[in-house]
Amino acid sequence: MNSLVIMINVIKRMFKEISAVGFLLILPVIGGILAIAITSRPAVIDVGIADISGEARGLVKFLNDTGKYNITGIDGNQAVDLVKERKIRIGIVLPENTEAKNAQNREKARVISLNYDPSLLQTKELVNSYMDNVYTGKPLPEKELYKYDTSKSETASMALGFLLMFMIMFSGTGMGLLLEDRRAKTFMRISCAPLREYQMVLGNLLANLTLGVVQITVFFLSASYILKIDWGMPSPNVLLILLMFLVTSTGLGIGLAGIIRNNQVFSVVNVIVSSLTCMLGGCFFSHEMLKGALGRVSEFIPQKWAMEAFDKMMAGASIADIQMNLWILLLFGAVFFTFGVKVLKPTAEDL
Amino acid sequence: MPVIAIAVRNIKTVLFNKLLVLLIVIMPVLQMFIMSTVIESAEVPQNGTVASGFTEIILLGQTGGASLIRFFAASTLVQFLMMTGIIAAAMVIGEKEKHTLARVFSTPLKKRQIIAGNLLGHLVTTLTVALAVLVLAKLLLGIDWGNSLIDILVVTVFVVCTITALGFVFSGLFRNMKLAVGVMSFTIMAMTFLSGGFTSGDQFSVTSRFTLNKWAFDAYIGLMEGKNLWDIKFNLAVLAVISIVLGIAACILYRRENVYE
Repeated sequence: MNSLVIMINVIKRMFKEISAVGFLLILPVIGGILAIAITSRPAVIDVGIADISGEARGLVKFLNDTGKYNITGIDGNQAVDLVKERKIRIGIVLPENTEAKNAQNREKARVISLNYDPSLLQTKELVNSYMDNVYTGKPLPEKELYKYDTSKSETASMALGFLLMFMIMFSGTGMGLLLEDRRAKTFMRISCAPLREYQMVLGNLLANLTLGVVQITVFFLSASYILKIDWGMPSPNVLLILLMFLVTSTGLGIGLAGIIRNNQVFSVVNVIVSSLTCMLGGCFFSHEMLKGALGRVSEFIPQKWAMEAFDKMMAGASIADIQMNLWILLLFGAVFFTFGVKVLKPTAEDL
Repeated sequence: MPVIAIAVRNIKTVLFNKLLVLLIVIMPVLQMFIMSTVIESAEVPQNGTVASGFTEIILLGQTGGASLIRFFAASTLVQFLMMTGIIAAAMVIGEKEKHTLARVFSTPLKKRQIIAGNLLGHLVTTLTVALAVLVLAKLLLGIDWGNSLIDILVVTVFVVCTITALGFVFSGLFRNMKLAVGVMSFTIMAMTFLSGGFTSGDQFSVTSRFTLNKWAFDAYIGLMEGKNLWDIKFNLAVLAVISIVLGIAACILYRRENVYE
């Protein structure tokens, strides 16, 4: 009961200023929608192809069918300069002679780029398939394999990764009230009241959880029904994972507020923790790319388990298949919460 | 002289906070380490020609894995420099909340002296932190910051002026530290994201132009690739213009009447 009173009080304090409504309810939604809108927008790649009306006609049609390219004809000798001048993103020059029967005499197609990135690799794969078809007669891959839908899981995954980052950040900001209490000495007053420590921490946790649920619901409804985002899995499942992660992120916020007493440090730590843990947890790239010690560290990062749950769901897993991930997320929340209860104690500085 | 006194107080406040300094020096290096590990594990080749199957990739100039590491090193540096703007905003609002700013305004000091003092202090602090990050990243991760450390520090001065002005704008817009810091953190992370600072990629080519990060890390990358300050003048000009506009807004918002509550 005491926790509920504290919860209501904390929520009232959060919304004391009218600008807080915008900050706590609108910004998280904007953040999530922004992430989804940008990452789900297929990037059209400017490609220059030499000899567009001759040998490369087939390649032009093949690349056009993917819908991913804006193709222009270029002079093969100028391909390097055009890429360097950034007039085209990727230059493609096919070999002049494609009649060679002997494998050793077959010339390679040149794919020219400034950067080594996913767009280049994707283009290289397509050109390779085309050249394979030209030299060996191997059929071209099915068009559908290269439509936008193939990258849907990647983009949805990245968008959800960014959403997790913003969730951690906003949970931490909500916990800033505990620091305010310390500064205003009300923390000591609460500690003098006939309250158990866990009741006080639970009150803050419930307030932030309630706020988080509202944030997630607003975001989720706007993304699903206004932006009509295709999550690649049933929408309630996305909501469930996000809610489980919310418990973790709120617990983490309490843990941080317990060990950091300085406002400046807390504000910086909150941002650092959200971005670093998201990197280690595979929000921006697959956590499998973290080798050795970093890979082992990522096992202790909540985002890793949330992202893994998303990835499994996108691959067709059911809730039962990801229950281990959900339990681990809840466990993280419980551990951080217990840590918060233990460290959120008044000290001589709070007098 | 009062400007120097304010600057010294500002420097002491930040640099005497050992945990804070440790975080803003170590964490960017750690983030750079994570990104370089990821790039190495992705086996991104260096510049030159990479042949496989019926195609060969021709990577031009200073490109390949090294360029990605440079990109993320620069974007991480910018991200953490921007975080120091949060500290600037938190300091000003902290003074408002503790009512010490009202006391400062009761002294025979001009508003521009107070702002200049704070800016100078913040500049020195951030340059010290940036220098530590540059040296640590060079020693521990072997990141090559280019031929001239002075040029890098000049770009850092531009970035710090811009972000400090942004910090002052936020501190003028909000009276509550939690809100100001929260909104500023969101803005910084959103700008880092929109600039492609976390992932790189073509999706961000348009949105990045509207972020401070892009102009700042493009300048750093230019220097790392062997360019000089004249070659990156456009980036510096953009940062200077943003800095001036934000500075004017900060002066307008930094009003005495805002502190008497």
